[in-house]
Amino acid sequence: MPDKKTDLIQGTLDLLILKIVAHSPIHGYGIAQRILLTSKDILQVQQGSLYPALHRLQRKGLLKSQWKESSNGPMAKYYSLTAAGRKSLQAEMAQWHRYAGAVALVLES
Amino acid sequence: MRFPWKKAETDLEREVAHHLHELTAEYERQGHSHGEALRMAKREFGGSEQVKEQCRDERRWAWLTGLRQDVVFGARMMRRTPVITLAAVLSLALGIGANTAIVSLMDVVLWRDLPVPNPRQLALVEWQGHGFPRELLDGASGSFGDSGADCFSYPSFRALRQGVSGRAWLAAFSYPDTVSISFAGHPTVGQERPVSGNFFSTLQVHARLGRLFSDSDDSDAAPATVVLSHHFWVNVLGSDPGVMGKTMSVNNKPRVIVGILDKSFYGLFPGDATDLYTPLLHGPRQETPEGKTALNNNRFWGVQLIARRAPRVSDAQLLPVMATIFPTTWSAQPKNAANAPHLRLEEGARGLGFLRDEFRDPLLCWVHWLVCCW
Repeated sequence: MPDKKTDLIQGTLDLLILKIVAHSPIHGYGIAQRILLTSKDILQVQQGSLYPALHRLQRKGLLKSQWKESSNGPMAKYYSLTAAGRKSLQAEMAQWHRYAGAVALVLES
Repeated sequence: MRFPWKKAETDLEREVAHHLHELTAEYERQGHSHGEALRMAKREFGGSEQVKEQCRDERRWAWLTGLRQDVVFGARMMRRTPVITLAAVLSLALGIGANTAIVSLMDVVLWRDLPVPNPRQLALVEWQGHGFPRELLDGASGSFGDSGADCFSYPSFRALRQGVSGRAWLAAFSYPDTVSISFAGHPTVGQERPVSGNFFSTLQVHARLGRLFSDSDDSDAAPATVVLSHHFWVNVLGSDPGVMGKTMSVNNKPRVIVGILDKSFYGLFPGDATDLYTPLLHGPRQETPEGKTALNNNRFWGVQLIARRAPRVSDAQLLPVMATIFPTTWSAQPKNAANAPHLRLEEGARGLGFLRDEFRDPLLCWVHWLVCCW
């Protein structure tokens, strides 16, 4: 069975993380699951890039984190957006739409 | 004890452990046994150490990125408010400049040794009494205060110099006088310091040109001579080597220029403005109002003394010898022996001390203040 899962284009992981976290506080595993689920099993996040990305975003002040009990018991680190993160998400999304639209224009020409 | 980086480490481990836990639970839900699910989860997660190392890398370089951001942000804010920036830069510049100046001044005034060979061998001779010893002297030229006095009679100098011979060299000098100078028709005003014939040899100072004084210059029979400081020779005489052996007029008396001092010797203390040195016996200060020389008068205390200890001779060896000789040169013995002046030797490596004494406390106050404020 051919694997339809696709690795993320470089630079898009941050945007996806911000978008997922924007809904509600969520832990790392949840983010990976949510990305896989919403992309209909196409976008596979490597754990090896997810956690460094989360730490990077937190350091930049776009994310904040809190240890909480997860729904099924053990403590988990929940990430949520800061005000700066929210602003960055809007900017990044606008940028992505512009970029994707431009790429589409070229491909369809 | 918990270190901040330890906390970050444990956080990371717990986070990774939680992920593996969730992943295992997912595989268990799909019908795998716990052991199998754990193995699968670990395989999928990949090298957990590798992930942790990448997270550590993110942290490790964080300070550098932070620094760059801070600098860029700072520069942008400074561009935005040029007046405040200018004020800040100016006050910093002034502050740094003022402190550099003060510390340079301290270096010269408080810490720097006289520019002579082996300055640590030098000692200033002083005495301490109870009040002014009127029984012993009619007149004096020197400094006199609660902390002591530095003036001696010329007969005292001669006797002390002879008494310490072999253990130390002893030279005399006076405070400089302002004199009118005329050379080749050009008049000027300068500072003249009378010194004993062995003054320069005691300090071990050398001549830039010509020669310095010897004892034969410091006698009534010798022609009146003068040694010029390097700065006087450069600034007033235009560094002309032709002045050697010529006659200059000092207070309308002819003096033969016999030598120019080496550039490095600035005088007896930093900022010493002495232009000319003249042998004590020809110095104006040693003449009494009657026009007689005061140098054989042991009731006129008009010279200061500086000693150079011979190698391996200590103050403790030198002082008793001098203290024995000193009272024998007085015109009388004080009725109350307790009031008699007693000698002491002061550190002479840095030259005359009054500048230091005067400025040490303000300068140290300043440094203390600096240290407290920064």
